[in-house]
Order: sequence, then structure tokens, then C-alpha cells
Amino acid sequence: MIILNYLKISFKKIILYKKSFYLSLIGQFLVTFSAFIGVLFMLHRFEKINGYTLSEILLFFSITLFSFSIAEGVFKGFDRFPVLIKQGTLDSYLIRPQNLIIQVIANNLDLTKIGRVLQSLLMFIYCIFYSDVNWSVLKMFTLLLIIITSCLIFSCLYIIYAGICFFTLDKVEIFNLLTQGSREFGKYPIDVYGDFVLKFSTFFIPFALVQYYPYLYIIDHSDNIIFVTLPFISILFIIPTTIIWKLGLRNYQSSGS
Amino acid sequence: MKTLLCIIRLKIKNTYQFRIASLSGVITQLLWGMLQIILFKAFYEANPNAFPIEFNALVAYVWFQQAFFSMLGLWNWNYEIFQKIKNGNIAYDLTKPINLQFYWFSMDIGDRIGRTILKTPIIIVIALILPEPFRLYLPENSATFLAYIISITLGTILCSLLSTFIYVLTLFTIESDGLKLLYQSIGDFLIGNVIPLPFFPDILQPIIIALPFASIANTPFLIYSGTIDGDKIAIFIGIQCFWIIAIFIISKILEKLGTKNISIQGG
Repeated sequence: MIILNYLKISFKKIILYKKSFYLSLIGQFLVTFSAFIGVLFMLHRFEKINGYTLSEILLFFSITLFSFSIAEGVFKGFDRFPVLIKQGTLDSYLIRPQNLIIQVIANNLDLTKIGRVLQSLLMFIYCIFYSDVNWSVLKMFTLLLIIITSCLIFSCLYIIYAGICFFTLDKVEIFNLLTQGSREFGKYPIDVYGDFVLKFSTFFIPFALVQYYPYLYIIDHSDNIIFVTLPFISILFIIPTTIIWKLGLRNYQSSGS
Repeated sequence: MKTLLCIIRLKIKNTYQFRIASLSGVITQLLWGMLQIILFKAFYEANPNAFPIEFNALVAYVWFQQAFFSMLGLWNWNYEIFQKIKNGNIAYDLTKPINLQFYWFSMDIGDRIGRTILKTPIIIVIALILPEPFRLYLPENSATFLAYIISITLGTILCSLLSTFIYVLTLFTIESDGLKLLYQSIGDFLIGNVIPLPFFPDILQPIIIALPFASIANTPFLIYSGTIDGDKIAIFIGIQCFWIIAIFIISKILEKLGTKNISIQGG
């Protein structure tokens, strides 16, 4: 498998600067850990927000963080897309007989992100035991569904970002609101941000479909069984993603240097 | 001083070239700030008594965080310096009759000011005319405003000095990625970017305030809103000055050690 080869090369690169790798690993660990502590401090002070308790918020946050860390770890190369375009690296990918998405992912693997994924996984496991959810088979299934579809939505966002960069040839800062912002503001269930944000993330970018509504079912804030099926609808998000990516790729004219 | 002004001028020109990108950055910053304020509003409504500062003070805190996002951002490095250390071009700098620490400090602070000087006023002016609850209020009196200006200047100097400290440390480690990330992740938490410092548990407050990161952003922001007032202003500005001197001396010593032991490989 070509991916394994790429992984091997990434590992070799790390071994050259071992000390720096360990420091990065710790750094990545601390990035997510401090976000966790931040939420803990806030809820410690206020006890409740919009009727959610500490354990409910923590579980929600850990789900967001875990799925975002996975997607970010894999798709980090797409965040650097403007750089790839400007330096002409992308052009060299294009002439190789290999799927472009795979190349962008594999050539930009950052193994220090393992620290982040590991931290969020630990936190996720801790929060599951800490929470007082009455688990049932359906709820566990819902949880799994939330994680998979969240990963999917985050990944789609990265690909859309790259698709737009094909046209702008430069970074589109406003997109940070959707990628970085979804982690920052995904700490709390979306209804905290009011009606407009909730509607936006239901109908436009389906964050709420994959996280908020099914989560309400898990913590018994709603017994509406339809909420469990909403993540399936979000899979439709792949369609606009593919269109934007294909359209961008077809119109791409290189940065010319 | 001349070097410094020259660098700032160049950076401003550069930012002006990419003004559309800057504009998109401003919009991002504004939306980000508004979402933060909505979030804190929800906390405020959940339990107003637990709110450690006045709500208006929090609004000011959020807007200044956004307005000075690049200027006081710990992630804002001058990558040229790291590259020079790694590829050995630092040898040229060492032959020049300049003070290495001051040269790096000028490059860093010039970069920060140049990048923000167009964005910051726009964000602040828009924040001043936004409707409730997003509106940024003017400070109570001109004395407060003056103290704020002094404090934010000191904060910026301290921020650049700390970056310079990391550049100097890189003389010893050569590869900088790990060091940078560690500094950013710890610093971001202690500077108040994860949650504003007044929201830390009360027991931790004295420790957090005494650390250098609190002096960068937290002190000026709270002076503006009047949360720090009267005699306390003098104490907090004193802490800022203390850290500026301390970090300056430590990096100076490290610079001497580092340049003495440096070995340039290859040709």
C-alpha cells in the first residue's frame, strides 16, 4: 500500500529530530488538554449553561474534539493548500499517476498530531465513564454514528476549502471560522449560540445534524427518535463537496511560478 | 531604532498589498468575537453572580483579543530567523556590527505592528458602533485610557521579548518546531486565549497574574475596562516592567552563551 510507504518516510523524518518530535507531541497534547481545562473551569464556576450540566458538556466537547482531531490529523495537508498552490508543489502532484487527494494527505502527514488524537481519545473515554447517561444499544449506536459522521463533515470542510483555494490561489481566512471555529465553538452544544447559529448549522453546514440533535437523544433531553437518523441526512453533504472540488480542479490554472 | 522603523514600514506595505486578504481577516475576527460574546452571554444568564468581571469588561476583553490577535499572538513568529539559525546564514548576522538580540527583537516587533496596524483600528471602530450586547464602551476617563495605552505598549514589548527569548533558545536546539509548539500551547492557556484569565478559579488567580503571560494581554485589557483601577494600576504596570527587565537579562545571558558555542556547519 502506498499510504504505508508514506508513513514509513514520515517516521524516518521524525527520527532525525527526536527531541523536537517529543516536544511537539507534548505540545499537541497540551493544546487539547488546555481546552478541556478551560471548559472545566467555566463549568466549575457557573455549574450550568442552558440547562446542560458539567458532565453533559464535557461528553459533548470530547465527542467534537475526538472527531475533529482525527479529521484534522488526516486532512492537515488541505489546510496548507494555498502554500502547496503557491510553491507549485501541487503541480508536481498533478503530473503523478495517483489520486490527488491521497497525495495531498500522504505528503503532508504530521505525526505529531498523534498527540492530539491520543489526548482526545483519553478524554473521550474518561468522559463516557464520568457521564451519567443511561446507555442502551441504540444510544451507543448513535454515539458511534455521531463520531463517524462528524469526521466526515470535518473532512468535507477541508476539501471544500481546498476547492475554493483553486479559485482564490490564496488563503481564505473566513474559512477558519468553519474549521478552527468548529473546534473552538463545538465545546458547547450549538443552541448556546442562539437561534441563528443553530439554523445555520442545521441547514447550511450540517454540524447540528451530526452532533447537536443526536446528542440531545443520548442525554435524554429529547426522546424524539428521528434525531438519531439525522446524521444519515448529513451524508448528503458529500454532494456539494464533490461538486466544489471537481469544479475547482477543472478550473485550476496553476500559480504560474 | 532606524532598523525598527524601516522594518515596520516594509511590513505595512506588504499588508497593504494583500488588503483583500486583510479585509477577510477582519470579518473573520469580527464574527469570531461576536460568537464568543454570545457564549459568555449564555453563561452570564445562567448565573450572573458567578461572573467575575462586569459584562461590559468581558466584551472589551473579547474585542481587544480579536483586535490584537496578530500583534499579541504567540503563534506569530518571524520564520526567517528560525531558518537562518537552521541553515547557518546566521553567520552573516554575527559578522555585522549589530546587537543580535535587539536585531531579532526589532524584526519580531516590526512584524507584529506592521501586520496589525491596518486591522486593529478597523475592528475597534466597528466594535464601538455595534448594537448591544456586542458594543465596546469607551473607557471611563482619559487617565484610564492613558494607562491603557502605556500598558498595551509594555505588553507588546514583553510579547516580542518572549519571542526573542525563544529565538535565542533555538541557538541551542537548532530545530525549533517542538520548542515553538510547547511555548504556544502553554502560553495560549496562560495568556487567556482559552478562557479569559478572570474566569480561572479564584485560588489560582495570584499565581496566574504573577506569570509573565498575564502581563501581555490581560493587564491592559482589564485596565481599559476599569476592572483594574486606582493604585492597582501602578502595581500591575510594575509587574509588566519587572518581566520586561527579567526576560531581557535572561535572553542577553543566553545570547552570549549561545553565540560563543555556536558552530556553523558546512560552507
